[in-house]
Amino acid sequence: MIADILVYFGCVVLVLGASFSLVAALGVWRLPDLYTRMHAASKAGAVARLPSAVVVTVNAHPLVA
Amino acid sequence: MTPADALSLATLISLVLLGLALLISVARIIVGPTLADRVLALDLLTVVAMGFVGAIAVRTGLYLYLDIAIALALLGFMATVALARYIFSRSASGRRS
Repeated sequence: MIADILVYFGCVVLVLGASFSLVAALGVWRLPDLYTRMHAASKAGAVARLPSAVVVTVNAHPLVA
Repeated sequence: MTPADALSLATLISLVLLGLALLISVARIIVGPTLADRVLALDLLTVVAMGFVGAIAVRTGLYLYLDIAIALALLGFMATVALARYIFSRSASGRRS
């Protein structure tokens, strides 16, 4: 029960993190200036690395795996 | 939909999205007008590749792939710092990029 809920939560967080990194790459491609591109890339570093780590941690937990 | 099916579908969707992000940042590395744009896109490429490795680890269930992600994070940080030092020394010696 709790393991299923954790797996579904991991699916949602994984897709959200992947779409955030796609948005960051689109920002690096579309924004006009070096500093605005730096802003988009730093958002990717903060918000796209965390969900990946959370999903791997949840799925590697002995309650789930 | 069982949890295994949902996990397989979610990792497939996220692998496709991360592959698109990799392609876009490679295009910025090729196009990028200045050297700083290319360094920034290389940093973004490292972050996206870490997410890709994490999604593959969840999909296959082989968590040994996390060692690759840790090494990639260290290497990306070191490459960004080294290229920033290179840009700094190049602009300090009088030649503007």
